[in-house]
Amino acid sequence: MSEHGPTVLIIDDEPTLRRLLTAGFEHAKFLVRQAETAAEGLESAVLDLPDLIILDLGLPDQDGADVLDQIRSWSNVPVIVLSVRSNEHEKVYLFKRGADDYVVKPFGMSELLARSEAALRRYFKSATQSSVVQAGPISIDLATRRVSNGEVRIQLTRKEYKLLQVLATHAGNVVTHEHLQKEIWREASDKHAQYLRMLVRRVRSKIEQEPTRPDILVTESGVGYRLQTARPVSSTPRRHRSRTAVMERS
Amino acid sequence: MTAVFEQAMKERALDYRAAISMLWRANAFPISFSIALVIFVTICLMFVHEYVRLHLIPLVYIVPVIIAATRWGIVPALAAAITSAAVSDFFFIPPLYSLWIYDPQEAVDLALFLVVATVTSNLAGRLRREVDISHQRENEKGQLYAFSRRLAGCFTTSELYPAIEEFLSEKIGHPVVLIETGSELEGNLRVHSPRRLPQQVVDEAAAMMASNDFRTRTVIEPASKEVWLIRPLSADTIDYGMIAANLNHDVGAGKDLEQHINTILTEVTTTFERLNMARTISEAKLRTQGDLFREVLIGTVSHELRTPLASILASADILGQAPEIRNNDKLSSLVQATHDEAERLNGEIQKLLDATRTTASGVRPKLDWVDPTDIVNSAIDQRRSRLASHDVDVEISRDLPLIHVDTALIEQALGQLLENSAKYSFKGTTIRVSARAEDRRVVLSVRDSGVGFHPSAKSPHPSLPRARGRVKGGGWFCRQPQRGATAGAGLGLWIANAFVVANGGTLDITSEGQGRGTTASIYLPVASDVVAEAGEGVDE
Repeated sequence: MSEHGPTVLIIDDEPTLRRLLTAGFEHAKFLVRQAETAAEGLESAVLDLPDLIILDLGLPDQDGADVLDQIRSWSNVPVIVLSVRSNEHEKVYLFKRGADDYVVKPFGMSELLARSEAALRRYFKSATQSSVVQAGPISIDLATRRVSNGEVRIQLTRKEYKLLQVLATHAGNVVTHEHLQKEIWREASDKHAQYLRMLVRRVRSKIEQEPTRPDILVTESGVGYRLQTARPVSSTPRRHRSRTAVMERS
Repeated sequence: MTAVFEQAMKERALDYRAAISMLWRANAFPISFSIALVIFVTICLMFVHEYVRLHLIPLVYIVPVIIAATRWGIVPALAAAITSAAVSDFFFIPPLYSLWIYDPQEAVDLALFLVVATVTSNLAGRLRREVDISHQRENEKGQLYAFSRRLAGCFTTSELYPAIEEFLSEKIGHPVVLIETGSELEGNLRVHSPRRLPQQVVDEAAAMMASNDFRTRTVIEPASKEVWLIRPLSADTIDYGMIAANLNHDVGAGKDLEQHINTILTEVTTTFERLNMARTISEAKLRTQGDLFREVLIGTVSHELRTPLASILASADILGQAPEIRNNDKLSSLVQATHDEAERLNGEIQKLLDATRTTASGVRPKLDWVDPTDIVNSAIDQRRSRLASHDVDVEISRDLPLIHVDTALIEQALGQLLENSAKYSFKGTTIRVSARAEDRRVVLSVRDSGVGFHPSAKSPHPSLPRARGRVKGGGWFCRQPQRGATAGAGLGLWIANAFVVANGGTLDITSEGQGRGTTASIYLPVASDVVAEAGEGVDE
């Protein structure tokens, strides 16, 4: 494994896509295992102990979400789900069931690779259990409950800190709106949905350089929020000039 | 003959007895209360009578009679009148403490009192009945109004049937399960209710359908001993489906209850006819099938078209990274073109899928609270590659109110406006995106300095937004795309409009004229139930 880098298991029934993903991952020095059906995939997940699983939702023998459930019953290996639909409900549902990320077909290979690397980084980082979470210039120390921008300490109210704390404990992962509401107010309702949006806006005004174009506390549209620990890489050509922070980021 | 007559008399006598006992059962409390009222008046009168000699005592007794008549109706009022006559005679008319009367004048007075009391109680009683009836009508009207409002909000059978069930359960006073029947179910039955329906009941209903014998049947569930009554909702047609009413353990009530339910259902059927329910149901059935078809179509199209596209895009990516191609300008531009066109095809597929969501009955948004800032950022992010050759200038007002919309739909609509601006303006020019609040509305605008359009131009789609203000007539489609870009069929804008309208907003497109740019704005209402800015929930 040290020679090849991490092992990735691709569970997909489309031979062409499997071949391409294999080529892409091998090019990025991954060791690739392939499975055509859910049964094969589960077997390989147990025997080959991959560091990362790419799981297609549309499998012939079993629902992809059930496969995810079965993997999660014994392992917390990062799983990236491939789907053909960008449906918020499906996203929320899969994140709740333990998916690490969600990529909609068609996707760029470099985007998938970037997300894979981010998932792996989170996985290995969580194993080291550092109490300080770094997101851009912002560091959140979960042990001392101290949030600072470089050397400058940021004053936060109880609720504001709680929001950052929950996001930091899942750093890099999406935390759903409902989960955040329950963690912060102990209940999720229409009213708390509004409070959450306002709380996020306030926290952004304290930690973001450009609060209306956030790149630390980012929105996962229709699903929840994510504390961005690594800069995302995208496949689209970057001839793009812009005056806005969000554009420069992308 | 005599025997028959005697039997009839006996039955009638029984009926009288039953009638009296029924009257008593219904009026026991009001009658007792009316008599108590008379006794109270008597005590007061006796107290006053100690000191002052009173004339026209019976007149005072009109008060309890009228109270009884207006509060409880004619029977308690008559009881009060008779008691009053007897009591006033006993206590106040000589000889005292006897029902005998010496003075014929007093006897006439008392008789007059009885007549007046009877007439008054009759009138007051009738008035009360009318008030009762009008109250009841008001109630029924309210119920019916609430029901028809709920019906208006029902889209598919799975929403409609529970609404009818709730209405029937309330009317009958027992839990009711509605069973859908219909030719398209091919003799099968469908139940939408969250309530559990025992297998015996389902079997019996199926047997009823199979035998075409729609007389009311009762089934007793062996396990819980609960009694279920099964019959078609309407005696005249099976279109409304069948109902199964859970009568609990009410076997004794048997025939009476069945009669009661029959009466109510006849009334309900009339109501349904008035609400044109058969049509509502058949339309809902059609929509359910339409929705199903659409789901299957979207699923199939998504899978069959996007999976090969994913392969093309991934291939282009991998090829583009290979050193042999990266170092060859010609080849790398070909690979880039493959990539761009595949992405464009993906965009077109998305539009078609969106169009199937936009049906004749409109789009059904899934509302959630969202910060408009997030919508703008996300829409720009999604169209990153389309905006690659333009400057994008974003201006977002601070403290915009939250809006209650379907985030995905509005992002898609704004994305479409961005894409159009990129398509219809020169490379290197600036596209200005702004989000601002304007009298209880949030406005998301996209402004370009592109080709604009001429006021006289005609839209090929009648349902498209009409440009307002400076440009009348709406001529978005005469715009010629910049060289290298491709003119669309206008589907994108049609979808954007449908999505905005579905969220209660409006889409507005204006241009100063040809060659002078275009401004497209989405106006979204701010919900009235938005919580006060930075409430107690956020401050701690």
